[in-house]
Amino acid sequence: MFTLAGVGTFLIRMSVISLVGRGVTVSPPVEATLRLIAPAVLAAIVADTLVLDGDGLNTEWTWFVAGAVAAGVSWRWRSAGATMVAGMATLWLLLAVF
Amino acid sequence: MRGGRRLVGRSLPEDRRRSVARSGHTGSVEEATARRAARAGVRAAAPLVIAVFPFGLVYGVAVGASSVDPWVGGAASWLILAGAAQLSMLDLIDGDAAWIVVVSTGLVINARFALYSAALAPAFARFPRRWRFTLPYLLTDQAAAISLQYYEHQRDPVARRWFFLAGASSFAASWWVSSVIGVLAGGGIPEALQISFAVPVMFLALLVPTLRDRTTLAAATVGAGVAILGAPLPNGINILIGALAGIAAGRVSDR
Repeated sequence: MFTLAGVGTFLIRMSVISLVGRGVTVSPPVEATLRLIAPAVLAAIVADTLVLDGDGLNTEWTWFVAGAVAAGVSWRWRSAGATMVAGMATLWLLLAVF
Repeated sequence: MRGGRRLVGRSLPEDRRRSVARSGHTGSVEEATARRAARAGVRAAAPLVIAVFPFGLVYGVAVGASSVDPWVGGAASWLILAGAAQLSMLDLIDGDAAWIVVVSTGLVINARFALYSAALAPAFARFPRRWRFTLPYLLTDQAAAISLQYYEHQRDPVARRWFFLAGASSFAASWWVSSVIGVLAGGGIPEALQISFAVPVMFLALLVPTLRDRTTLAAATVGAGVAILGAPLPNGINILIGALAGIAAGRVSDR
């Protein structure tokens, strides 16, 4: 089953890349659409992993506060390392205090 | 890069090869570019590689606790190389779901890779064939995010592919090692640390730098909102629908 899913996943990853060959030019509207892919997918994953817990809403307020701090640090310093440290440190601090 | 040079060596006659080596130094310039780009890829991946680790541990521990053979569960990390899909499939196998349900769930969760494939396709189109048809194996959320960011200010295809190879391999290696450790360690990781929080933080660190203007912000806001509203849908479908809605919203806000 994992093998089947692995082959299928590889084909999905390959899909558009294999279709677009050398010399293909990307028109401005297509390019404008392509640059929205990363923010849209990543935001959906953040929402799914931070806000949701299974089918319901996550009730761990500590996660939201630490997540907000991490987002702020990321916005200000644009550093993945600083974001990770700030997020985990805030969470552990909150867990230790409350 | 060494492979590329050998190819040049075979295809050029001896005298021309010497003149290239004397005058142009094309090979060594390309090699320096590749090395620099590979280092940049590892550097960009480094903080996130650490975040992939707890995710892999969570998966490994889940394999250990399930009815799935630890070897099979570990091999999935090589075959599929996608955490969310592997975790959901594991859950279904453990619940005795039909194989078609297990496989299609994994594929639905990984359908978002088609979007990354599209986003990367214009850059990959300028890579040699053997790169174009092997690199996608390493395509993950993290690899796509850091590469798309790098490609904005790096146009050289040599630098672009070495950055992707180095960065994406770092994530893959972290995933393989951590899932094996998770299987071996079993429940040895203290629950109180809530290391699974590293997963959303990692995605936040990838997301925030992509928010640069009104359109990207609209895409992200709608993407997140629709993903939350779609919570009752099967795993992965809410993310896919959220992403598509977000992209559409971004395009509309551009008008």
